[in-house]
Amino acid sequence: MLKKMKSNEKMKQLMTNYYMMGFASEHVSWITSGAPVEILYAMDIYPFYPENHSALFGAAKQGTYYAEVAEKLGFSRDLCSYARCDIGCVVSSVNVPNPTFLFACNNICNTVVKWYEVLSRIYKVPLFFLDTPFVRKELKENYIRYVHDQLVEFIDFAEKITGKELSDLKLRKTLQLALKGVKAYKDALLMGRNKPSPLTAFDAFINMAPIVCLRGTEYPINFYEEMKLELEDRVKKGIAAVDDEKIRLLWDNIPIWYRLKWLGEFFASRNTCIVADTYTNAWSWMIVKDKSNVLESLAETYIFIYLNVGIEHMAKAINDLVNIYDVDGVVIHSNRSCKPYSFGQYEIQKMIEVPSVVIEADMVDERVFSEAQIVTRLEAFLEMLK
Amino acid sequence: MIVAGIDVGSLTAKCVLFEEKVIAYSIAKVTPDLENTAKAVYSDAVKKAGVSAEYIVATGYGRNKVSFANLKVTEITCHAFGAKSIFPSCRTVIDIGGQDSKVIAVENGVKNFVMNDKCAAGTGRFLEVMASALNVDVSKLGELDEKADKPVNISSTCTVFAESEVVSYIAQGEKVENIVAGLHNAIASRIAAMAKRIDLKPDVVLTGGVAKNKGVKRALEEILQIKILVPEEPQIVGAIGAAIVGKNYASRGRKSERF
Amino acid sequence: MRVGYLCTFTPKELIDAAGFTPVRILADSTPISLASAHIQSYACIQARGSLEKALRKIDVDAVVFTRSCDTLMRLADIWEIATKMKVYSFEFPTKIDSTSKNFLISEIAELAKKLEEWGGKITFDSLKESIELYKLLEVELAKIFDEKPDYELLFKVQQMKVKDALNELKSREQKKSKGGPKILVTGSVCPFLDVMKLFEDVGFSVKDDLCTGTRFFTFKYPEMELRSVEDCFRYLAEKYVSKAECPTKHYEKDRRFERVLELAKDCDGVVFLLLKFCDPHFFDYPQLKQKLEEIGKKVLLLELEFPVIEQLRTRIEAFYEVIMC
Repeated sequence: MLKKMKSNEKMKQLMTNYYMMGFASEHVSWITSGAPVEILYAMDIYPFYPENHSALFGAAKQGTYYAEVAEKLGFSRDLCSYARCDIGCVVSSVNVPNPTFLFACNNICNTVVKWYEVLSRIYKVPLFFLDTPFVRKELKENYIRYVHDQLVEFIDFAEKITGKELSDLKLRKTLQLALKGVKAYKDALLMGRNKPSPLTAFDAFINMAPIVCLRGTEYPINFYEEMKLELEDRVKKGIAAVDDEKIRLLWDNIPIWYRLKWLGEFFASRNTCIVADTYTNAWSWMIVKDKSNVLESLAETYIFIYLNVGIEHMAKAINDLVNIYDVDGVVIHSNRSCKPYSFGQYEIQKMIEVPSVVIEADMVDERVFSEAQIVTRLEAFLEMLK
Repeated sequence: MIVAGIDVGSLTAKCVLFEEKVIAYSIAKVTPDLENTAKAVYSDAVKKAGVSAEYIVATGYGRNKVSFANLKVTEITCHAFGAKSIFPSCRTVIDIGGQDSKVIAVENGVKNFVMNDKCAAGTGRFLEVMASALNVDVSKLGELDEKADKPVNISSTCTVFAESEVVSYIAQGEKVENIVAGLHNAIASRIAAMAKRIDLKPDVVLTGGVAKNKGVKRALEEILQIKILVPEEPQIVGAIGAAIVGKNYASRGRKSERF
Repeated sequence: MRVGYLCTFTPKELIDAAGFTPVRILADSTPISLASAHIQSYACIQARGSLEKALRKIDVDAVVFTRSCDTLMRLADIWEIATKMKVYSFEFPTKIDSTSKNFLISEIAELAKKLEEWGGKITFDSLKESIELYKLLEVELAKIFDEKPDYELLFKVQQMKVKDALNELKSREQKKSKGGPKILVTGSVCPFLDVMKLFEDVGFSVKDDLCTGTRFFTFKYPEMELRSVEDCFRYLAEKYVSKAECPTKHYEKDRRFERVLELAKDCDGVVFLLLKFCDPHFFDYPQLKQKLEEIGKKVLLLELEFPVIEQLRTRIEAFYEVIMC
């Protein structure tokens, strides 16, 4: 019933190559999804994303198995399932590129700091932690200065470990590529504005890995341009992602990876299209402003990203998406693994302009998913919207 | 037209045969075979009524297992319609089911609803577990509540933790009546919190099997500071609502299996 | 005005110097009801319980939320919306090093500005006095805890002006330790006094590494002369980055682990007293436990939501038997 995109195949190819690249690289840095990867690419350091890796295992329904491995070591079941799955993989000798060093940024959560400390003790490699103050209300000048100074230290740190030097020119070039990539990505997502929409958020989830992992290289630019062409072609031919689209919804939070297909079919069979989501759109915020001081612009961009801001900012972002994509309601995933993404959702519900429903689950841990409960909530919500 | 509403919950299955009003109804315990449970409860109602239904609507958490139903609707929508048909002044429905509890804002149909989060101790199942820890029959909880003089504090939100609190009260020699009243207060406080997430307006109708328990009604009225209406047979409100939804739906000539 | 705080990295000296009363907010045994309309049940009991208190009745007019864990970071917004109190987010750096110390100085200046906006007045004299008084209080508390921990006293002095707290200390009698095998109780916040009492009831002599225990008053004091408000800000930054290591911060060379290992040296066992859903502590737990066992320590994990005292007593008694037999 689901209409697979041709891009899915290209994405698989691209990501396979990306993973292969890791094993052939001299220097590998493990990196969090919200960190400024551009610096690594500018220094030819390969970035490995444990979060992406765990999402992949989650989608393959192997996440719970590896999470349980970590639990046997004493890691609590209440901890982030990306972290548990990753730690489980590491101690089970799943084949991943070994890190030369670790690079964590807490602009997505403080959990990554603790998680990377654990990794640093296992691998006995240094960890650079980039500390980004939280912007509950306004972004202050001293925040930018603080993060800027740490970026200078990070470059020094990476240069010392790898023996390579960062060229200013190459960094600017990488930033240009990142900018182009983010724009191409954003344009592809925006195709969801069409009525009926040629893509669902589930297509976006499946195809988000390149903008996360390869931002700053040529690959995402080409990939998302092609993806957009495919979607334009669908629109021209009158192919909708969901037959007879009657309800348009927005998804909030990280997807429930092991239920992507199930949820996709659930909504499609009820003529409902999830046309956009807050998770994949978070990367469309990563537009580095072109200022004379490159590191200051980088600092500002990476402080002010979706999860590192207060509830008012988040509600505004959601309302923007509601309007851009003209949705009838919002499905809010209360994700036990992700406190910074989930706490505050009850307040946000009151601040958004369309009806919403909360479902409680987890992004990787299947044991938390209660099908009967979730079906009832979602069906009741759709009945209410009709 | 005679319509059957079948509500297959997690603990009991209910069937109502409905024309302009309820003709007959039947209630049965749920077995692991939900389809057969639904069939049995339907046949029983048909036997009592002496007529069979032209149109069948299934609701409740087992609704999708009822293959002979013409239409499937969630219990949220059904409780809203059912309660409204019994009490036309109803603006809010509180349904405490076996697996799920919900607070529903009612207008013409469902305006908004909130349900318990995963580990909330506000469901019928919770009371069953606690009753068995106390070694009393679930149906006696209401009577015990009336005799309480100083309800204990149950602070845990998780059923497992709450159970161990109950056990430790028993060990301390606390009166069963006071523990029961404490449990009812705990449930009521969970429901009150859900009600806070939507705009709770009178009249409030309490439905579902737990509504038969006077102690829960008492605790809810105390914490919400509002009078609560309970239908004569609260357990079949979902099934009545299912029948009404079915009547409206069939009269509009729709065919789809979903609302 | 009474200004609340949850994280003990909050510079209470500033609040006190502004003429306000710094009040530590802790959960208690009030069951969670109102708070669950605002925050999910997978937040720890300290977050949910504190919010519950604020929604019922709390003698606090404003709250400073100091950056520590993800839950408190989001709780600031929820608190502001749900209680309509004045709320300010103080961005204590998560990374502790010389670069972040400079940032901390600027954040302390921002907090001082905010307190003045709230009607406080911070002068050089008032700030210098608060700094001195807090040092006196902390040194005294350390002496008391060295002899025998007194959590009731500690909780009490966290609810009053520092001057009154010092008077409170004067009027008390030092209690003597009853002896018994020594354990280190390490963990996050334990707002339940009856749980702390259990360890002693069972026969242990207690040393702690808790946010509601010695971590509240353990600092190194910088040697510097204070001549201006700016000096005081720098002093406070120095003082607070030297505060007893907490798992919500990132230190060079694993200083947090080193602290616990050092404290455990003269103890017969270590109890991890952790609140359910406390991510920073639970991430540390497996590797720290392993290191403790490597140096021959017996380890017990107690996970708390609302404590069931009798159940906890059984576990602590069993641990006592493990150590003694």
